[in-house]
Amino acid sequence: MRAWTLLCGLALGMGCGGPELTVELERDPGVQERIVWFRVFVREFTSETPVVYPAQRVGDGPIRIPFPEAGRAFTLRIDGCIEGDGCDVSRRVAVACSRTLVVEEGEAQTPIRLTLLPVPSPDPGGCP
Amino acid sequence: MQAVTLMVVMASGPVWVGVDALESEVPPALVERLQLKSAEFLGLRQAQAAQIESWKQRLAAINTTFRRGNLEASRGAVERLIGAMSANTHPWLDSVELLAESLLMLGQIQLLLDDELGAASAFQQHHALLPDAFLDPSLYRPEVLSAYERLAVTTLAGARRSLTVEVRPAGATIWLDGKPKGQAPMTISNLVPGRHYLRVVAGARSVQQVVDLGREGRVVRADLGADAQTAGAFFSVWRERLGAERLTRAAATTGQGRVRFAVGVVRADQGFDLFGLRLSEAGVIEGLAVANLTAQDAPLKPLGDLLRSLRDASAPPPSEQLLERAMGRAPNQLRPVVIGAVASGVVVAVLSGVGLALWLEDGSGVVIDPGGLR
Repeated sequence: MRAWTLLCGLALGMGCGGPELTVELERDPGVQERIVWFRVFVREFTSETPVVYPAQRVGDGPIRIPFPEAGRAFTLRIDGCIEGDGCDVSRRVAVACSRTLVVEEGEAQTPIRLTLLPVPSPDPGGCP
Repeated sequence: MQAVTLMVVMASGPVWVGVDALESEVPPALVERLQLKSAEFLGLRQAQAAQIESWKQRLAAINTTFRRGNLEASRGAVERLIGAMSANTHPWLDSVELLAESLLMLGQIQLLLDDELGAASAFQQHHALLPDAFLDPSLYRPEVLSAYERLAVTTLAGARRSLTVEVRPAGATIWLDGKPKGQAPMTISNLVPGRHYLRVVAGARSVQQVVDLGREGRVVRADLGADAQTAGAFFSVWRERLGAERLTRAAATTGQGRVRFAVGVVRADQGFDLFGLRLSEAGVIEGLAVANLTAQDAPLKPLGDLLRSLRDASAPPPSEQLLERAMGRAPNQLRPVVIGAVASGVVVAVLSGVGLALWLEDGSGVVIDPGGLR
């Protein structure tokens, strides 16, 4: 972080720092399976095509994804998957969806908590 | 309750085609429809139809032998035909009715050979497959009709069993005795005791097994979760940039050395986008084509055009632009580094080298902490 701050200074402070939103994931007691993978989808309004991020193992800790454009509304969807090769639709057992979020430049963000809810079977897809 | 684990059986045919949703927004019913249509477009269903046609001709020849009074020969021939149709190498879909017809013929032959036990077995198997079948009195002699009623319908009256099918992944389609029953997991009740033909399909993968419902119901568990056997595996390996080695491994375990087509489906601004790949055995993408499917495309013509262009190798080698479209908008993690470097006009090389790793530790963005899941 120190080295980065230094480099940022060299780079005239551009492209560094800025707003940060922390999302804490928790599991609903109704989710029986052990969640090993999670996968993040960001849907910007008014696009219908979400940005799909690579699946990440829960054990690997927090991940950071870039904000959509400042001031542009978006929603987060996080799929939770059981053990296997990645987190595709066939292994999805839980899902958490955010309300609509908008992040303005330089605005302090309060952390939000999202709960992974069990996915009914058969999986209807998307958010509950 | 007995539990059985099914073995994975690859669909037969010279071509492997798999269709998978790449996002949860794609309805499973659409994937199922695209999978069936893909098999049709590539001639797989025609191959199955040709097989059934040849069985029909065999049954007609057996019928001729039977009517000439050669009972022993016709019994042997119809038993062999039933064995062929019950084999695991053919999907138990359209052939099940023909199988039932063959069982009915076997029962008649057994009756004439005074083998009432054999006739009862054949009639009961027929009744288990087609419990509501009506035997046309103009086609069958009265003694056959009364024997069927006595040996099968009356004997099994009131005896009903249930079959529970648990499949991973959930949502796989269950076919029983050639008819779609719904999506797993599910319990099918009110079944006539006897042999039933279970087929479970998820994308390009399928498992099938004869389930004998004897004195009690059954629970069947199937695992179609071997990710390397799905079209989705190609895309997830590819989209997540897990490397050429993983892609090769996925290709090597899929389709048993056949030509492979994988179709990934994502929701688009208008309808759905289909990404079709033609893959070599080594996992190299030989062709890539994109089609858009809207609600107006009822006959799924774009899918047919897409598969034909891949099959005929008229689809061009994938361009960078097309690859990027199919891969989705990957997170552009280099962007802050590049902006910083250009703006400052200095230390470009340093920033490019270390920026990506450091960006992950600092900067703006959404931090998702899965700590609460552990």
